[in-house]
Amino acid sequence: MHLVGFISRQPWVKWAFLALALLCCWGCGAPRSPFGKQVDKVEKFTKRGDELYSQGDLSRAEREFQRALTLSRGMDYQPGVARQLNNLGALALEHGDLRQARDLFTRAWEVNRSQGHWAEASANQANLATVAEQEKNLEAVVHHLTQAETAARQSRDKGALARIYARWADFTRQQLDFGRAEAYLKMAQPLARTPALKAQVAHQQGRLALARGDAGAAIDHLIRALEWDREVQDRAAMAADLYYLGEACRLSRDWPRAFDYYARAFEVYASLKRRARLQDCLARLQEANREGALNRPLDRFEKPNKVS
Amino acid sequence: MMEEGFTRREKLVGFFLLLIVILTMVTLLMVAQGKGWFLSYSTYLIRLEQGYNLQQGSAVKMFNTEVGKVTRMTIKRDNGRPVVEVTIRVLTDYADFIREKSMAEVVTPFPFGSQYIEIIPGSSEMPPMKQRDIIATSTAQKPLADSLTDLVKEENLQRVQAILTNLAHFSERLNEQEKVWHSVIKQVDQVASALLKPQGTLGDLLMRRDLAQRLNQTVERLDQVLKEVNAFAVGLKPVTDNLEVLTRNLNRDVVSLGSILADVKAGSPEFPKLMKSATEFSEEGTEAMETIKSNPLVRFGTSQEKKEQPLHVEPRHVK
Repeated sequence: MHLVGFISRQPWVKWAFLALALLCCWGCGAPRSPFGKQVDKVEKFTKRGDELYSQGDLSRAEREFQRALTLSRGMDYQPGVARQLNNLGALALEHGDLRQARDLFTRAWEVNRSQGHWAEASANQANLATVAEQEKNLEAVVHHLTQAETAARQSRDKGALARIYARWADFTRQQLDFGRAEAYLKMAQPLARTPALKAQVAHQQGRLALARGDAGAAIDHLIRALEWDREVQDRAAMAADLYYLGEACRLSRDWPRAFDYYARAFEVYASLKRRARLQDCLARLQEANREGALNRPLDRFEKPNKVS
Repeated sequence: MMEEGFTRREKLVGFFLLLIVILTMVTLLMVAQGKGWFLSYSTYLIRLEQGYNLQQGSAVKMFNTEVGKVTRMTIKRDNGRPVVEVTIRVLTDYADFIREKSMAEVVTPFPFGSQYIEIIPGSSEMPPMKQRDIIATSTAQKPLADSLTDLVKEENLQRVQAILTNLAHFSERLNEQEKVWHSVIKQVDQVASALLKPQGTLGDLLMRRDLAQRLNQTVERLDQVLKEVNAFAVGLKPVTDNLEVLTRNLNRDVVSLGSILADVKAGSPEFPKLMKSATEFSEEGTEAMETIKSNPLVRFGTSQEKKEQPLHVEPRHVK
């Protein structure tokens, strides 16, 4: 009671009440404009498409992205157009249509560049780098990653920069330049704030440790990556985490654990219908069974392949 | 100066209190009457050789009517012999029937039911019994086990054995008779088969008669079938009547269905409008929710939604 009395006697109390009233009026009084409503719709379709994409339901994801694209074009919402072109490009990449993917990512990049949306433009270039990697075109990879880094710097978006640093780390590790890979990851780590980015950096740290032959460190990093990826339900990334956890256990010849991780990776890849990855997992499972003399049944892993 | 008497409010409260007290008392009295708390009972004693599975609360009946209950059972010594003393309470209204020479008997309902005490009233010429007087018992009630033991006494067993022996003898003789009967039947069968083969005039004739007999049987069967068809047709008539009613109902339903469809058809142009209104209403609701959510005070308390990012396809996603 004394405290209440003390506070009520303070001169700033009336100003606090006034501020509170204004805050309420601002929040409740601002009606959504028709444009805002349409943008909300685009966001809704995009969000739904993103969820379906991460669940591996590509056909339904494509439908949602197409709806969002049509709506964005109809209302001349250029950020929406660029976003959907990028997302449809990601789907084309998943389907293995590299040419289509490159075309869509390039169009998205052009829209974002013209609009000055550098963070998104950076993502477009990173995706173009992935396409180039699939095409085994190293020069193009370097070119696109450089463009992506420039765009990320221009955007002053820490997340965008972390994303590109992690990509550089991945690329340089593949080139067996572990020192540069480590340096990139050190730069990326403090910038990665979202679970998705933290997972990306942790995965790259795990892969680097694995490449260096440090199975223990690799397992630690990959388990963290798996936790983050599970949180955002990025299934493809989760499957990759599990597969490389199996690889780390394989390196330390811990065959029972390796078998378990490969089996879990198999299940996630099966839900995503990634046949090539399923074959890889099956080969590893057979190896773990043989090398570790585990004698575990492989029927449930072999059957889906036979059916498919 | 202190004011004397009660205020109007105090009187009102007092009245209600009094009313509640009266109501409670009346309720209590009614319950007590229902439970028989205020009924007066007379207490008597019965001495038995054993308890006969009686227990506290077992019924005491007179002319198959419940007049009281067993209240206590104790084992005592009577002239150095242990006895079970059963204390019973009988409603005072019926105490007048319990007089000298009244008898008590333990009844075991067979095969189901609990044991109870049956009081056989004494003669009205005899003086009434006093409280806690001992009611004499009739020939001691045998428990079921004792009765069963009696059943398997040697005499009875011998009788049963004799009956069974006689039955076996009788059955044997029947068997012998059956053999004779079978041989007779066999002979008759042989004669009949010889006759049925068209051997000799008699056989031939019999065969013809058989044919006629068969024809006769066929006609009889046909007749039977016709009768059954007739009966079926009679049974079919109500069915056809019902069918007619059913068809009429069906026609009515079809008409109703037609009118419903017509209504639906008439209402169908309104349906898109209705849907549009519903969609608009839903959108307005969503909008209202969005507006509320956009309030900084509300937003502060809710979980932060993930800011949408363009899809970034890492090599680990596609490899």
